[in-house]
Amino acid sequence: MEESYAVLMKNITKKFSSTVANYRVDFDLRKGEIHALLGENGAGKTTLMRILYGEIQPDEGEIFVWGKKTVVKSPSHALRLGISMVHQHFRLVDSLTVAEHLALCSSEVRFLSKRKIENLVAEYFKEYYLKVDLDAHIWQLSAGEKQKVEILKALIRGARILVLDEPTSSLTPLEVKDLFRVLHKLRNRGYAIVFISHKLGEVLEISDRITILRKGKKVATIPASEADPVTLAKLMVGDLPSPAKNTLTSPPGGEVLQVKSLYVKNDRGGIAVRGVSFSVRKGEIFGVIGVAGNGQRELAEAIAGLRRPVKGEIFFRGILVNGSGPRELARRGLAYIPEESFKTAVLPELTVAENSILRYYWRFTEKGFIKKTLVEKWAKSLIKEFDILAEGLHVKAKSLSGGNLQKLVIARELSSKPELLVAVNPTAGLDISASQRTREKLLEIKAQGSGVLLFTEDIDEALQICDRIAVIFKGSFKGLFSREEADVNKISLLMAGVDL
Amino acid sequence: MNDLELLAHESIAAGTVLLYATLGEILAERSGVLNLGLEGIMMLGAITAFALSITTGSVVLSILVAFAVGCLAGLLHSAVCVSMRGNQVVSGLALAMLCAGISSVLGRNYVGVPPRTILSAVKVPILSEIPCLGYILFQQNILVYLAYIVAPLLWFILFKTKIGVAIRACGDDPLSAESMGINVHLYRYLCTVLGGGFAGISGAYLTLSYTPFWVENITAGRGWISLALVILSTWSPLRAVLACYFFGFCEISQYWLQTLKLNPYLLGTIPYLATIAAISVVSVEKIRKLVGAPRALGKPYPED
Amino acid sequence: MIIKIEKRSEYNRYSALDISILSVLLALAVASIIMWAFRVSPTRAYYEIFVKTLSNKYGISHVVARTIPLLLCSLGLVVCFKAGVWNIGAEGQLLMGAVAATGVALYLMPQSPSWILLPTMFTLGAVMGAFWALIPALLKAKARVNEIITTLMLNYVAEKIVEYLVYGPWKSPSGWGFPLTDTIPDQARLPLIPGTPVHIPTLGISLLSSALVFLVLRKTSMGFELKVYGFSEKVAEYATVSRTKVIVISMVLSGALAGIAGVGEIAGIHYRLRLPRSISGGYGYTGIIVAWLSRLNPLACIPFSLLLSVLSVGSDAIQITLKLPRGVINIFNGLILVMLLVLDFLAKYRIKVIKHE
Repeated sequence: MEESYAVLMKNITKKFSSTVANYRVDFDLRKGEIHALLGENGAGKTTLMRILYGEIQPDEGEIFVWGKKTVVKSPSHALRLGISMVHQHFRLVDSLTVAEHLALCSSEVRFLSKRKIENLVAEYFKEYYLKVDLDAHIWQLSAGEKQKVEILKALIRGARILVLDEPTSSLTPLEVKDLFRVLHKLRNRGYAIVFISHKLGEVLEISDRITILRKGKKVATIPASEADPVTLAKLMVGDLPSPAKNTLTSPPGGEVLQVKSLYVKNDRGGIAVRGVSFSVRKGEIFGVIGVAGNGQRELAEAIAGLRRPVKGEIFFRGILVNGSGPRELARRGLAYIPEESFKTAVLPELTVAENSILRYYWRFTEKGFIKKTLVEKWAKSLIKEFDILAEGLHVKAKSLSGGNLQKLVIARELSSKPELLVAVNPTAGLDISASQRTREKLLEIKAQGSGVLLFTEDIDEALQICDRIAVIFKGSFKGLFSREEADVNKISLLMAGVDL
Repeated sequence: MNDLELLAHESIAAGTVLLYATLGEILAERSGVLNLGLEGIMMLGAITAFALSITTGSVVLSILVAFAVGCLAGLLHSAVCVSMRGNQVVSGLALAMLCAGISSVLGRNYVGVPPRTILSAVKVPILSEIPCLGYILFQQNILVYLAYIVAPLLWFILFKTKIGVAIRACGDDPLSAESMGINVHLYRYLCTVLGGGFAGISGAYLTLSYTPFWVENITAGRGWISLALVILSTWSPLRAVLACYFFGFCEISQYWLQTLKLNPYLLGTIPYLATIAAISVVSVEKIRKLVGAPRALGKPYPED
Repeated sequence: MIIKIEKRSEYNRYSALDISILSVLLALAVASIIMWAFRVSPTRAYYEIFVKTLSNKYGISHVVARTIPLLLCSLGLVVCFKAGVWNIGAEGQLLMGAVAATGVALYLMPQSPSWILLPTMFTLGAVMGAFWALIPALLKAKARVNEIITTLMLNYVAEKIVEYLVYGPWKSPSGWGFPLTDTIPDQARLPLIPGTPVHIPTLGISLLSSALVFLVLRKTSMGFELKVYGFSEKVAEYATVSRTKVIVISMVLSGALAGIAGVGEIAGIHYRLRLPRSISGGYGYTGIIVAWLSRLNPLACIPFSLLLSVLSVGSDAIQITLKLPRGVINIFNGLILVMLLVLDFLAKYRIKVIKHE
């Protein structure tokens, strides 16, 4: 009975110090199937697959691979068993070429013989729509192409079981279609595929069966044909919190940010932002929506003073600020929540209190000395207001979870009573209730008169709280909608680069 | 043979001291490990080779043992930095001090002792008859010739073989490298050990050929200069050859300039000032070049 | 059989300073093995180094005298290392301070009374040391030039400059051709604790500096900025910390402290400029050891510089009695650092040997 399963996981339990990541989870995967693992952030999907992939060991439970009971000791062992994982953040070395990666993954190729590698991949190129330029360096590839390289790597290693962790997170809608084509072909050829995701729509489109995890426990496994978005959402989250109410406040005030024909370079020397012009007013939330990697980071950094534009102008509160450093801007009331803020806007080695003033320590300084009592008072209020779970003010921040670190950043930036808040994906990685809380807080500061420039990848979020929405694609704004005009389909198409 | 040819000939001889250590360090840094101990390892290689050449009279044995001793030093550095995740800067400095101290103790009886055997120049048949270049390139000693082979060989290994790809992966992105089944620690050990060995050979070359005697601080900062040369050569073995020979020229020039009655002590600052100037120039270029240090250089793996 | 390395959960079980002390002891233990291999009796060596050195006024006073420059250098290095700036050039900065002091005392204003001369010497010495550190600081701040190499190279350049001066323009005509300058006038000499080589003002400055550095790092916004930048350059930029400011100030401060140490050596000990190796027995490098042992705590620098000075004075003694060369102190220094790294690792991680089922 167990032989028909590629993978059978029974009763898997895994605890990390205080959290239970997986609790008595059963999961099975058949040959020639795409099985989605659905759940919100922190539900335990990645943990379960990391156990399958040998990166971590379960506290309890058994694993059967191709019918045989196994303990997967390490990723190399998993590879030998035919299991390969494609991580959400690609495990590719930027400076190496595609051919070099494939050579590393193949036991047959000794030297970097171009011909041998070509022979190796010829079949995959043809049969599975996986063609890529072998001589290209990884940094030159688009996200979709990198995805293909990852899959090629897995196939060359002889994997028959593929685990894809949030594979569409950086793909354009067109590339997602491409990927699905590849996956269907693989499935039809008998590969067993696990598709980890938190995106309902895609899961319904691509999978044969869906297993939903919630807070570490398996909630249900259902065939995709019997599922619909509402049921899935309910299973994922339990009770849906009502969406944040975007109360109609008084019409927005004067312009707090004006961007004119801005051009910004990326790290590679290419142009990331092309001639963007827009403005953000007081008391409004201006959303910029787009797939990751279309210039959002560079645009946000330019506005926050961390990156010099090569052309164009930025006016903050009426003053030209192109050359200003971040301190000047912060002084004048610009708050900034960068991407992955739990990594980029906190220092784990500093205490919670120190992190609470990380960007504003100069406000707590008198005659060169930092006023300890003021800092403590401030930190305490942040923790209380934003429900941050921390053992104390003077413990190192590294004792906090990623989610709580992110909340700390949000707390710090929002509470600084900014004239303008620039936030990049502030809710990414947070669980649903924390995300909702954050959105509510954004609406709060908007009501208090702050202008908010929100970069997001989540259309729902944009529609929920933004007053105006612009779509960014390859560095340019492709459309500007007010709340009323905003249309999901139009926005999706624009995000994909389709001109309307 | 005129002055210019002599200058070129000596530049290559002087540059070769730097070349081995630089090549070794390129290997180590390509795999992600920074070894600041070169100065000390060079000293250790120098005294080991000198002592052995006095006692055994065999140049080859002296070089081999110097290589082995350098490898041991590299092994210590790897153990601390790779396995024990130690801070690479501190470990390298510690190694430099430790090896300098051991060299000093080892050498206490060899100060002022005349050399017994020296690596003499060997003429390469036919090639050494070429006018001008024949003298410059092919009337050197065997270690210089060996370097002619080792540098391109290293280049080939790093850029044209699977092992080289694996090494570069370790230095740029060890996480991805590991996910492809590469044993990052093993490669880093290998490269650092070999790197140390090469630095040992540099030292041996010093006391067996270039400055065939022993005093404390015979290396005069060459180990540190090699570190700069790694940067200057943008971690490429072939460019390292050019960089090292050029620096050999800088070193030689101070003696040549002395004949012009310029103060020897002030002239003595030339190699060091040249080093500062050189890496300053490269650093500015670097930003535009986008070809820089291995991304993961100096960081322990796995980080936590 | 696999060897797995796991992080310990009770990381803070051993205090960092305990580990420092333990590493010194372990280093001495390993050094004794090396000594034994060279047929030197470890017990005799350590007896000389510790017991004999500390059992008389001469030994103790020399230990204190050596602690002064060591402490000053290490404090400067603490500031730099906290900011992640690797200043290996304290040695050269000290020498340049010494040059400044000699220049002022012999040529600039030899006739001035003490109360003008001495402060001028200290000020100019600090400025000179600061300048010597400013060059690599600017290179790093503006062009990202590796400061380990630039500071190191400048050490060698400083040595050459001193050599140039003592063999050349500043060579004393009455010195029989030795590389020495004239001796500085009485007004340029620092008051000593009677019967000892301990120069009081510099001692005071060094202790005061320890307290000041502690205060700055703990309580000021400058200290905060140094810390933040030291942990992550990227996050520091986000936090509106000025990279240039951090690099320049930390290096300049460090150079100034080393320069002051140099002044102290001239005005308090040697009273003339001489060959570099005679002026500084590696204070700039040993300062690195002290800074690390102290875990970048300025107050802990005091006991650890005392400890390393004992080793230094003791090593000098065994040079003569046991015929060991100067470099032997480097063995101690190197071993101490290595042991520190090893013990840090053992304190943080647990080694588990897992056998196959």
